[in-house]
Amino acid sequence: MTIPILILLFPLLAGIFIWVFGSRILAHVAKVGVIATSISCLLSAWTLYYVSNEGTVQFVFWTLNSEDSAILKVGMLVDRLTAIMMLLITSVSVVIHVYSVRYLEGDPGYARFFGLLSFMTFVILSLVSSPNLFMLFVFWQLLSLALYLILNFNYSHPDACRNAFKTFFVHRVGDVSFLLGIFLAYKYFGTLEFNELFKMAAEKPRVISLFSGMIDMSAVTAIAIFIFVGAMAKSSQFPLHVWLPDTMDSPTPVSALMHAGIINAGGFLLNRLAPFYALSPDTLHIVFLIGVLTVLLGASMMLVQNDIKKTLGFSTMGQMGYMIMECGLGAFALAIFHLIAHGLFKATLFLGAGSGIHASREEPKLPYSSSHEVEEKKSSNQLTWVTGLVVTLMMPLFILMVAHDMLDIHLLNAHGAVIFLFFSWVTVSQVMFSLYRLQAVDSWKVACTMIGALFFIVFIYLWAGEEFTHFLYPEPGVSHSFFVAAAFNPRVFDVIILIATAFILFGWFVVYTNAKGQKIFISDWIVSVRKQMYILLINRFYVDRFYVRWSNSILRLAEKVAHRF
Amino acid sequence: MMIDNQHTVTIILALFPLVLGILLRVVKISFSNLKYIGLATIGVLGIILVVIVEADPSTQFLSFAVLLSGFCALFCQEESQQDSGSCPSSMITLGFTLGTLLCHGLVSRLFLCGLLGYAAFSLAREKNRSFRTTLIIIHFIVAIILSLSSALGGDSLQMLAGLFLAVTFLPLVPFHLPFVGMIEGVKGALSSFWIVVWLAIGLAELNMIYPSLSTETLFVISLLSLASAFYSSLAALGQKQSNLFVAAATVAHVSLVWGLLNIFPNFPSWGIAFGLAIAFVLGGICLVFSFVRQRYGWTTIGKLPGLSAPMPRFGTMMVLLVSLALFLPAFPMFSGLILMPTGDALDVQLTIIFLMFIAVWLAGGWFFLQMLHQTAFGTARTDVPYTDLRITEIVAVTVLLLGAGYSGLLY
Repeated sequence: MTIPILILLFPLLAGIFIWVFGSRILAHVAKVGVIATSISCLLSAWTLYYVSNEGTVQFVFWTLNSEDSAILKVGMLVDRLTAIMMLLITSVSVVIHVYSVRYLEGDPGYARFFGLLSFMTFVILSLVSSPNLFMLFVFWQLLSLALYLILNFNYSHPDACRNAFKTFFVHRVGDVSFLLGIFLAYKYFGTLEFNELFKMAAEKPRVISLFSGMIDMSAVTAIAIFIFVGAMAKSSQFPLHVWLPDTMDSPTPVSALMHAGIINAGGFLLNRLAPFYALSPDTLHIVFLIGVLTVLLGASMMLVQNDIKKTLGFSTMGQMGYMIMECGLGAFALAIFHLIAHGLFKATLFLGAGSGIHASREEPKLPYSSSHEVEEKKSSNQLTWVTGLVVTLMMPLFILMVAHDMLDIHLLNAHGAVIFLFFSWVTVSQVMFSLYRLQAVDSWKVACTMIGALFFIVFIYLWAGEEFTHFLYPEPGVSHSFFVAAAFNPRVFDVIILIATAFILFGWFVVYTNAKGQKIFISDWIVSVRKQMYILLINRFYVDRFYVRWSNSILRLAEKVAHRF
Repeated sequence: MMIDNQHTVTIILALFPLVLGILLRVVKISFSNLKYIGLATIGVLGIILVVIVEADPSTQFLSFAVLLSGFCALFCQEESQQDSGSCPSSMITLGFTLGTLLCHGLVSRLFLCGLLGYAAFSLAREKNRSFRTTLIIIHFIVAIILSLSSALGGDSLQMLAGLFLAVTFLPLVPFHLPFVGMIEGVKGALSSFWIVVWLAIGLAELNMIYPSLSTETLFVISLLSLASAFYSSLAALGQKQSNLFVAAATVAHVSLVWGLLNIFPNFPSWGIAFGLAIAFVLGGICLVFSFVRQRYGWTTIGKLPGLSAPMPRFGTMMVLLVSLALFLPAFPMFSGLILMPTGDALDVQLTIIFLMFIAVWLAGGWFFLQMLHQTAFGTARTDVPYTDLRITEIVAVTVLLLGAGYSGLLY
């Protein structure tokens, strides 16, 4: 079963071919890229089928030293997780290749772009099929470099250069931490192979003593945290999120590839190491906390954007926060499901945005305001509030009850049920808020469509998530053990849920009373907080500015040192 | 008898380019002839090194690196007043370096003294000698005295002299001034050659003294290397002069060699390969800078941005070199892991290695990319008559790149 090797080889060979002969066969470079990735995509589909039926496939191509204990092995690990990721990557890559054929027509860097796209596809595919931390790290690095080069596609454009630099540097912050995690993993457990590492970490827990024994820390926790920082940088988690919203100067296909593929690397890494993370509940709680912060910041910053691509960028940040949050709750398989759904959805949105931008460049009058006027009444009526109430509060509970009977999801597992309710409430509240801003729920037709669509989507999501969990972790008890490891103190969790619910209800109450023209007592300082929040959000919580100031002071110090060197 | 023969061969091997260099300096020969004589000499020396000389693998590897670098520095040169003097100079340097690396005992030390004296003489000829230059010359004199006394003195003196020479040639702050002075002062492509020469001798010195370094000494060295890494990384970040930038970046990466000594055992297995990878990559960057300097008189980074558009070959070479430079610190990490015993790590070691990587790798990412953005990327000036790199120049840089790849990844 050597087909998985071909999945990697085709994009690699296409990349090399385009790099060497690109200038001579300019008219055909796109064909080379499209054909290579299409073949890889078909082979990925076949590999997924094979792995689902026959089990995991593993190869070792080369070891650095001949001993069995060689730590630097070059090979492939193709399990269900890898096979799914390969199919996702190659299919998104094919779409982006095809889309780019006309999008970049006439660009002087046409061949370079297709060469880099094929190379990047190869790197991501190799990353997801790495059998050990060493190989994964190597391709993790190459991914940073390839991303930097492709973001620098318009290298004469100062903004594109600056943002590519920022992206690479933020990723490098994560890479240093990741490398230290690898160092510690080998130092304490003597292996970098995934399965051996999980086994060693479970069987022989080790303790790191810091400051001459003043602080004792589990080695698994330390390693997991260091590696997580690497994942944070790639998946744009707070406070390493600053690179993502500014990478929109690259061509739209690059944005699509980045938001549908590259940014998922962090989520993939956590999933690959899920059994390792399950050994460290403290780390999972930190992962959850970072995810929550990123969701809140990403979603709130998205609300104040007026640029279509930047809005999508912040939306991706929020979605990545959700994905990491799911990992922190032990729902690793759900995170992968989320990753796939988001990847396909966001690639479509970006490519659509690219077409929209192109069209509006050609026809400055677009969009025509007259044809986009909403025919329904502008003011919110009773229907808006009923719809909102049904969607935000009743529907998640109803679905949960149905799911309990139809899908055999045990409500006794209260933790999972509460997670689901929490997610549903937050998500649909966000949807309602967006629709409320657009005044789009003032007809029975729209309201029913919305409730029906959301009901369908959430129900399917729940069903697919459950099925997907069984597919990804077929061994009995494995996925449950992740949930157990991630379990919070029930009281803490209840308090979080209660506060979130109270906020949602309060928000509805305020919006409703305002819409009805009724005055409720709200202290002036709370009203002023709205404006302050807007300023804070439009300035991205001043995180970027803080980094810029910090780097400027380092540069000033560097100039002084350089003068004396 | 066999050992004596070998010793004689190595002395002849070192004397051959040395005498040739002196002759070429005296006799008037056309540039193209000079270049061919130089390249042919290096070729012959390479063959002799493979066929006749029996040195240990590390020494042989270091000698090859020096020859390769010398070949690149000569091969890319074109006729100019400046370059006609560089061929004899590189032959003399090559002779002293091979003598230092391949010979043993007092003879090796004599060649080293010759190299130090030659370097000091080059600096002393400067018209506007500063206090800094005087300090460097004093440093060279101390190094010469210690070098000679180590060959004649006892073990402790040998150890002390070896350590001093090692931190001078494998430069650590505050012993970096001679290295920086040489790289700043040497003209054209020779600066690239000097980087490889300097580091090769430093690696050989460290290789000699490494077995006798005590745990306490290693700990002190690791602290010094940490300070050196932070200081030189900052210097590279703020540096505007091209050669000084390369010098600072080299010192920053060399600090990693010293810093990892305390963590990874068996220095020759990982350290020499890593040290040479640094030398080749930074030497390559220096070489590419020299091409731009030769064309436009450019020495300040940032004055001539956007070169990728009018000089695509330059852009490609620079991107490849910087790409390799960005990942240099990862090379010893993985080759060192293979050798490292597993078990509990000391918290001090962990802290040092973490800080070391922050200083070298993180800051390296910053200063290399900043340099790339200030030279290759951005908007090109329209008032400059651009000419792209010639084939010989591309070949020279490619050879150094391949050398770095082989040394860092495969050796």
